[in-house]
Amino acid sequence: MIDRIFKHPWIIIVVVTGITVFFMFQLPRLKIDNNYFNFIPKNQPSLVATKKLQKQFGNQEIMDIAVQAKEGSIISKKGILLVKKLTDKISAINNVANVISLTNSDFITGTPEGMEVGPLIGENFTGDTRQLYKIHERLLSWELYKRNFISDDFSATQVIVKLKNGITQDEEKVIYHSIKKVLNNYGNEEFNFYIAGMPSIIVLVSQNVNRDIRTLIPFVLIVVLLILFLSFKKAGGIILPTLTVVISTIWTLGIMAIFNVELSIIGTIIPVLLVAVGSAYGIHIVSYYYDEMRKTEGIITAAGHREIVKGTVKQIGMPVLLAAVTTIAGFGSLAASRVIPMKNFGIFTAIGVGAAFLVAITFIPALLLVRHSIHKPNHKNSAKMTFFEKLLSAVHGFIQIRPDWFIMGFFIVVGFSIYGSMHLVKDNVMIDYFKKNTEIVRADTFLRKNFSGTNSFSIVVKGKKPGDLTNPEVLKFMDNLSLHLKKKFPQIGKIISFTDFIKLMNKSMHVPALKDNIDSDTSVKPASRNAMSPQDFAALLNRAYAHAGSINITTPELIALINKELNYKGAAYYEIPYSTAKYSMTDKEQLKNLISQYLLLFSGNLSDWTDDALEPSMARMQVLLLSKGTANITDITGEIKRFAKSGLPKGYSLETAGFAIVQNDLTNLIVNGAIRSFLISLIAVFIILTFYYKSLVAGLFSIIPIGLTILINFGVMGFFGIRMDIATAMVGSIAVGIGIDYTIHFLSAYKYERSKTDNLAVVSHNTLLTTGKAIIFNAASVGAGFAVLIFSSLVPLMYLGILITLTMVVSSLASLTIIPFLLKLFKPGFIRTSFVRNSKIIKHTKRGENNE
Amino acid sequence: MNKKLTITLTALFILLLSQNLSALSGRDIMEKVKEESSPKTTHAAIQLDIVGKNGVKKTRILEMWTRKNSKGLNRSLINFIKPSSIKGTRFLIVENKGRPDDQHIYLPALKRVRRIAASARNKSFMGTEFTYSDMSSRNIDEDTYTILREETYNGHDCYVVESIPKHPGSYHYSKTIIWVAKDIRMILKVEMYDTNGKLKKVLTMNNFKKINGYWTPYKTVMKNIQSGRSTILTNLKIEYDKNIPADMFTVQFLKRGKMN
Repeated sequence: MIDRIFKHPWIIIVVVTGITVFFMFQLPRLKIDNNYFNFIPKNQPSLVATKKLQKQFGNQEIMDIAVQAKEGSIISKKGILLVKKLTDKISAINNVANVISLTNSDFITGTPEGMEVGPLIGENFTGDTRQLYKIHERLLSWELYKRNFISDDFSATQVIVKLKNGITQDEEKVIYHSIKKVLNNYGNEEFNFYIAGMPSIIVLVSQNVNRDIRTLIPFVLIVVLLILFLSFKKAGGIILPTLTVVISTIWTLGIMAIFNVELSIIGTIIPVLLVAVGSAYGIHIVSYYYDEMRKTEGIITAAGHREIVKGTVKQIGMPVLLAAVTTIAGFGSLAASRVIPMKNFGIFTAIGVGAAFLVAITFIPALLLVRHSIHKPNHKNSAKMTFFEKLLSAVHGFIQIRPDWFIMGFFIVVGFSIYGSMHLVKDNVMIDYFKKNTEIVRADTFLRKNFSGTNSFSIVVKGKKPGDLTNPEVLKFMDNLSLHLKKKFPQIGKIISFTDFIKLMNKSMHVPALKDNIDSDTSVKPASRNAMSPQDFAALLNRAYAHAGSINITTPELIALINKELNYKGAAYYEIPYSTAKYSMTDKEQLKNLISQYLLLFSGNLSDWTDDALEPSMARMQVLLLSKGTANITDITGEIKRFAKSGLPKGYSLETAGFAIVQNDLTNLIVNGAIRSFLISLIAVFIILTFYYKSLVAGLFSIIPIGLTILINFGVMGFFGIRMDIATAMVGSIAVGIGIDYTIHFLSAYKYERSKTDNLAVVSHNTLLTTGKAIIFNAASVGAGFAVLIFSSLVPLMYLGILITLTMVVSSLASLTIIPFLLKLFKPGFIRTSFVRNSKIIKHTKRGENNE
Repeated sequence: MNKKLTITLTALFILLLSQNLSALSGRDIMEKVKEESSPKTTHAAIQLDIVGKNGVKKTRILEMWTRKNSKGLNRSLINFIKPSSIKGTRFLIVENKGRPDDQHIYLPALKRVRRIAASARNKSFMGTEFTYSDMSSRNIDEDTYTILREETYNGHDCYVVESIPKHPGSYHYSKTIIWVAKDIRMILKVEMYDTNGKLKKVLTMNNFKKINGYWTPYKTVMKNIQSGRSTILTNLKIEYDKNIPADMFTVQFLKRGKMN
């Protein structure tokens, strides 16, 4: 078989080059997609519900812009004219559905004769002081305007940009940059601009991914080249493994391009990982080959050289295959995740590792055959390694002398790790993908601090037939739910509800008449026009205060109470018309009709909140969250369900949907998927090694060091507050895939040494000084490769880099200490049985020599 | 406001005199349309079908009376019949010269008349695709007109006239394109372009019948191209120039719903 393959090395070279060129031409088709809507399975209930919500009520994702006056109120002539300009310019941008700001919003208010509907800021705005006061007054008159159109300190206002439904990410990117351009054009020294919101975040994640790919791949290649140079100091040793990783990475990305698999934030890691891990197979082949070349005395003939190459493949093939298979099992386990980028990551890194193995085992030998030349043996002895040798000796000696300390240390580490793991926070917060000082983080922080938040979900209450949502019973329930949630969850910034508009209209329709010019039989008593005496005023204050819920109330609360007491502008009627007595009605049906008639007055402008302009069968409430994470979403939705169970009238149902809920689901899927994948990888590795050594004990021993590594990883994450997100959740599976190789190498070498002597201390010492050194070297090079991710502009990738580097160090050290300790303690049978295949494994594990 | 009702809701865009239009400019054509005499009174029953983008149809039925006074100013009274929840809601619009229309509404559930001061002209009329300004006539001097071409539309030889506001900021359309039938001298179709120059809405008038001497479209469709929603307006019954007492168009009548 091998003979046949290597008879025509040129064929292999041509075929591999051809495939590589083909895939290279596919690369430009690779797309980047970081919309988390595409991260979770299409049939996920939260996603289905949210898509339905968007279809009914329009795209819920908004780009949030804040305009802040550096001094004074934003409600100034300059400020308002600026907001108006921005509103107009941004409205004109393609694919913007609509823009909502204080300059294009309506103001509805009651008058003694009726109601007034008009722009919040009049058409003949001149910016004189009287007008500015009027605007302030209007903004403070309705809860919905506060912390929406005006910040608490009056310095800033919000411009909300709604995007069209179903636009592509490229189109979102164009919108984002168009808005930035508008802001730049109108920017001046007196105002600050902030732009945030989920579409902005997604656009920027993709932009960062793009930049990372372009900078980190060359960087990791340089690191690997450097390591290869240090270890081989030979052109072939540098070029051949590098070729392996470049070729296998191109294949993998090319296959992704062909299957239209988009690169997401974690897709960035695929090339980095393939470069860091894939080089190992090439290294094994090349180092064994150089080893054999060194051993051969004198001139090597072409035929002799061919034998050496063939021998290399024969000897090294099986162990490299074992390493590749376990790595594929580790990475491939991520394919079990329901999170689509994680699944793709699993599938394509597995394919990539497979490709790296295939290229290493065919292309490199083919090149070696073609390139045949005379090599001078290199017998230089490296003194640099003695430091490691001393260290390893010392560690080994310590474990030999104080096994009790070692066991104690082991359990202390385990204990700390478990303790740390218990504090592990699982939350995939997209805004936290960015570093703290970035523009987007500052904008998001500003918007969350001064307005009602950038994260939201909706509650949709449904009836069975048209007009069901004009029933005062269900509207009252919605209103109560809103109050209850705001009181219970401080992280809720605001709840905007269909009922707010009904209440506003009810209020506007019940302003006390000054004189009875139109309506003689009004149910509202006309307010006295007589001047108020000081006694009356004091009495009014006391009456108002008596209605306060507690002793200490704020000024706005007192003003609200006085307004209510006086029915100022109908304030006593800012409620759902519920009591038939108060509204002089004979039955609830009339109240229902009243609400329908109110809706008529809105002229169908409530389509964001209800399905029908007159006889709605569903209505929406929007819960705006000040918190950026998803951690409380489950609590809030749980509370909503509980509240609905006890209070929602019969014949109605309630649903929650929206981005915050989809993100919450994504976090859960990430965590569950990661745990499942990690367990699968451990089991797969256990099975593979059990079969390989034909021993359950071997399988069991093998997974102990890697299991401890993962535990320490979780402990470190818990202690340092590193959250489990879409990237860091994969550390477990990646670490198993790579880290298990160290145990495999160690076990093989140990077995070889064991066949030479029965003195277990000598066996482990020798193993450590030969293969142990190689293992540390191998782990250091993989760790260094991943450490490149520390320079990523995205925080999850940075942490992933740190954590993988850490797990490489831990798993290699754990293999070198725990395995010999266990073998000495239990003296298992699998290590004593010797069979022919052993000698094959052993040779390649003696990498310590090769690296000299 | 009420003039727009006359125009759009009923005998829309008046019949032209049967004179030769061939040598006319765009403005001449529009002037002929505008100058045309309209009925003194109109009484109609109208069905409004509001069709959502998902195809769900909501039906409203209303009855309307319009009367033109000696100064040519219109007064309209609308009485809602369907759906039942708004049955008996009445809406009175009194056109004023040189100042905004007076609007009053009677809400039967509240048993009160309320005055509505609305200045937002680009807002939907009662949840339809028509805005208040779609339904009112523009002063002919506010726009410039160009004949784009002549073509056959719906079996009628038409002038296709482009109308562009002289002050772009003053109108919420950047332009409209109007199909005027040469034979019946009626507007058959209007395309309305938003301020970004994109087609926003298309108004079409179909099923013309000559009632009491006035060409009347029995079916008018306003389709919002951008939102996918549309409003279909069907005349269930219409009569012109019948005697409608002026007392009908008062707040007192609005409240009581009857003459005495």
